[in-house]
Amino acid sequence: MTDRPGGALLVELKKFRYTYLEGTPRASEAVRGVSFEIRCGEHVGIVGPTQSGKSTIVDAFAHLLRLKAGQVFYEGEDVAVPDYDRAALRRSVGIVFQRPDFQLLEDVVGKDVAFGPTMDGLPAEETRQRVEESLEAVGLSYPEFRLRYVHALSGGQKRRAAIAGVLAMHTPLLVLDEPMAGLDPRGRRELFELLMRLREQHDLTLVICSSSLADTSLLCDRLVVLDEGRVVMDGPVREVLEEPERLSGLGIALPEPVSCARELKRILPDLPVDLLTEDELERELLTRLGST
Amino acid sequence: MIELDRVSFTYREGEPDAVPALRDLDLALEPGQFVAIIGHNGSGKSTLVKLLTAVLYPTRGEVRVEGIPVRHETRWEIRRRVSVVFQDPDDQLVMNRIADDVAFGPENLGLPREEIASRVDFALDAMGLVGLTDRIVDDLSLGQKQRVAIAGALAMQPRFLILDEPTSLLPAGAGTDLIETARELNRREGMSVIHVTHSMTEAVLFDRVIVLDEGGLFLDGTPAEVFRHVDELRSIGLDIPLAADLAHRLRARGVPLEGDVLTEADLRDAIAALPRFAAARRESSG
Repeated sequence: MTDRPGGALLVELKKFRYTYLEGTPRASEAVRGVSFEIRCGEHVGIVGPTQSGKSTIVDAFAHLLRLKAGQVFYEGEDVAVPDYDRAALRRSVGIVFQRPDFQLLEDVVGKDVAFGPTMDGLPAEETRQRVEESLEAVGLSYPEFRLRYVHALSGGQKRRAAIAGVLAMHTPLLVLDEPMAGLDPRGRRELFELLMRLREQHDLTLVICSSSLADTSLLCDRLVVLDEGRVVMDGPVREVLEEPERLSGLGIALPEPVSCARELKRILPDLPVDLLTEDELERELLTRLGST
Repeated sequence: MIELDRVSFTYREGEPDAVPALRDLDLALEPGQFVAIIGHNGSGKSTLVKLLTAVLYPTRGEVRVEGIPVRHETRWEIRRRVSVVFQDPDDQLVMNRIADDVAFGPENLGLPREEIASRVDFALDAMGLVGLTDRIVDDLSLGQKQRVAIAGALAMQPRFLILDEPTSLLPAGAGTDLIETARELNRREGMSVIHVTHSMTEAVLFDRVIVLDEGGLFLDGTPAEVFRHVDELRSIGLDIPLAADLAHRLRARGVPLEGDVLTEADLRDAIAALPRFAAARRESSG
């Protein structure tokens, strides 16, 4: 790992294994010995096909599973030892789950975003401030959305309300599980811009789980690729993108520029494929086809 | 045949907060067509699907399915001809066992047992679910659940199968597989497939693309005809497939690409056919 920020160690998995319904006939092994670490300020994409173990790993970050000792560490401490303060862990690890309906609990938006800070025992005025700042951060205007009913929001607005609820907790770690799933192009663009802005907060550590590299390749600096509960690649984005055959063989959707470059490489053998944007691909093509 | 004659639909018609969703829409969908309907949220796609399945009735104008006007009294006749599969399969799977869920519709039609069994077998086979008959719906992946939901719709043997954004929750590869299965059904059984989507990359795979915007028809034609309008499509907030957009940009920079470029393979072929490029290749190989 070369250009990894030198922040302090935040999360560490050591040969983490997890089996659902262990010891029963329906037992299924979801994660089979995964080791990696995440440092403060990193932007990490955890990518893999469905059932590769992404969501299990996310649940492990906040100790939402029955964990065994010696496998999951937060700020150097084993979260599975009996006297570990799990409530404190959950105040540090903010998770936006794949389906916002699973985490929006209140009837109106303002109350929902206030839920976390209120449970944390924050005074009313500070809670109100956090609700306002979090809603504005996700592009939902506080005066306009504060009293709106959660059930009447569009899919993209629900997703953003769920993110606001997590932002209001001021957690140092923000984890989003498939944030783009089910959004239309406009909703995706808006959420993408929001996540790009969050990236700029340099003290925030961002983890995005996805089965697609389309947005993760632009939002993250490092990719951890999973398959069948194991890490199969881990490195800077461009380094991982240099192996498009391997990625698509795993059932991971490639970023459009990479996928297009891979097709064009058949007639332009020297075309690079580790391209992040359409502009980069256009430049590469013009130097080869341009009428200069 | 599905026909729409100057169809308008307004939510809460006559009230101060009325929302017009479709305006004077004329449309004809021939039997056996493989059609994509695209538009962003609020373009009228979902309202159109509800009108075609007799969940809503037009505020003005008439919708006819095989000559039958869509009205409250005809809703069961309409729903026997038109089946719909929604975005989230959890919204429409009702039974525990897969085979029971697929049998649910035909059982409600009061069909004889053998007929039900043969329809269920057909539907499970068509969706590639044969080995999973006795599995529990909750144990399946989202993609498999979506296939069960479609099998349930197929067991009704509809003339028109509407897929309402069925791929938007699926991982990319599963979405393409699903469209290939629908194409196969369309070819083999002559069933009309109407696929509602936001994805331009998916729309390219259909025979006809209907673009809705603000409740009206924006563009209608083959994918090649529709995607010539790159700037107009972008102006209403739709994403252009990268290959199509790149061809547009390269032409603007003086690269004389010929023909319609919709897919990555089209772009590769158009570049390979460039005179300078073809000549250079001959040189290097000769």
